Amino acid sequence: MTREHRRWHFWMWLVLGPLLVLGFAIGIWLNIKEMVP
Amino acid sequence: VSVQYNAVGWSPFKRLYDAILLGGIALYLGLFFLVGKLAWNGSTEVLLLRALGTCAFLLLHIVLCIGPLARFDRRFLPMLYNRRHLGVATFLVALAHGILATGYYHAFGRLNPLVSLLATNTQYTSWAGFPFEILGVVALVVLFLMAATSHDFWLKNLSPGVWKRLHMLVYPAYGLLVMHVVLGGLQAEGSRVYVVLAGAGLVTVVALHLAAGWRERQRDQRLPGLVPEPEPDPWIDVGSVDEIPQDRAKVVCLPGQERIAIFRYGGMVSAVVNTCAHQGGPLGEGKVVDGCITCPWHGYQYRPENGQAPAPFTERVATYRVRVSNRRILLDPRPLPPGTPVEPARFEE
Repeated sequence: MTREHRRWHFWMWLVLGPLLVLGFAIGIWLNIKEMVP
Repeated sequence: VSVQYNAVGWSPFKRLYDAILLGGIALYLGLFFLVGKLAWNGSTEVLLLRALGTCAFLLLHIVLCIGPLARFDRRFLPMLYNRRHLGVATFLVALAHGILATGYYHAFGRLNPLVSLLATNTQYTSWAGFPFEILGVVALVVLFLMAATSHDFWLKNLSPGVWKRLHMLVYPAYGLLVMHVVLGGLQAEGSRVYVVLAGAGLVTVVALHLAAGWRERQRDQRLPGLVPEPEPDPWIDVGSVDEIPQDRAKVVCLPGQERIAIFRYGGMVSAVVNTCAHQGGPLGEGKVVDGCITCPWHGYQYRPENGQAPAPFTERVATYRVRVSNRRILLDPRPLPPGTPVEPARFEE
């Protein structure tokens, strides 16, 4: 990978990673009771 | 790299790798089934369904984690370079799960099982009734596309850029599968175990990618005293020839520049850019085979003395001037145009 590719990769995970984990945790937290039939 | 078509370039290592992979899958399914039968008195079909589903999900986690793990420990590199077989195995196990689930839950009605699977449940606005199966179907289609195009034939015909973009779809597919597992676990059993396990898997995948990205960034920014001397003497000392194993390379990171792979082979030293012209593979993690630097990702080759792929191939990589003085390697870090011949530095073995 080029230096530019590595930099892009790092920033993508730095921004998207915590968003995904937080989105998952908050989404489950708020909706878990509704998710169980 | 070869001009001839080979279905699979089998080697003893690949056979061993595949044997371990198949043995591991069989062991997991067997253990899951055995423990499940002893601990939970459910039906055989449902147990097998869960064994296959969790196995495919676990395999996908391994596929996603190998890349970042290889950045921390070189012992993961052989797994990284044979990751495609793992991906195909993941698809096949997931397919078995899908077929069994469709047959078990949708084959006994009046509707065609596929129609029943895709069209019966339309509660897309309800969490409790959401057709989580659809998420699995879409992810399975993506896994199929990746498995079907995993061969070098497709890599060549689709072009590396398109192929790479197609295979990056593994991340959206993974997201769909996380929700498939969470919703499936909650709706079918009301069990929060699947939520916790899927969440832990997600955190692991994200944390490993972030940590590996951070480590690579640190390597790129590191200033190991390798600051080029001012003109007209650009030579920098990058270490001893004795640090580099025969037919292997040392990778040098210079601030603000691409990484440089310095190869030692048969009493000579040559330097090329660390990035393969094919798909950006790390040439410095490869070795010299038959007199050519061989990329560990797809086997593309370059002559160390000029960075040119042997005929009939046309790929070229940038080269660098090197000298050896008192067994110390001196490098001119200014890249020469791709394919520029450079006399290898010679030393007494």
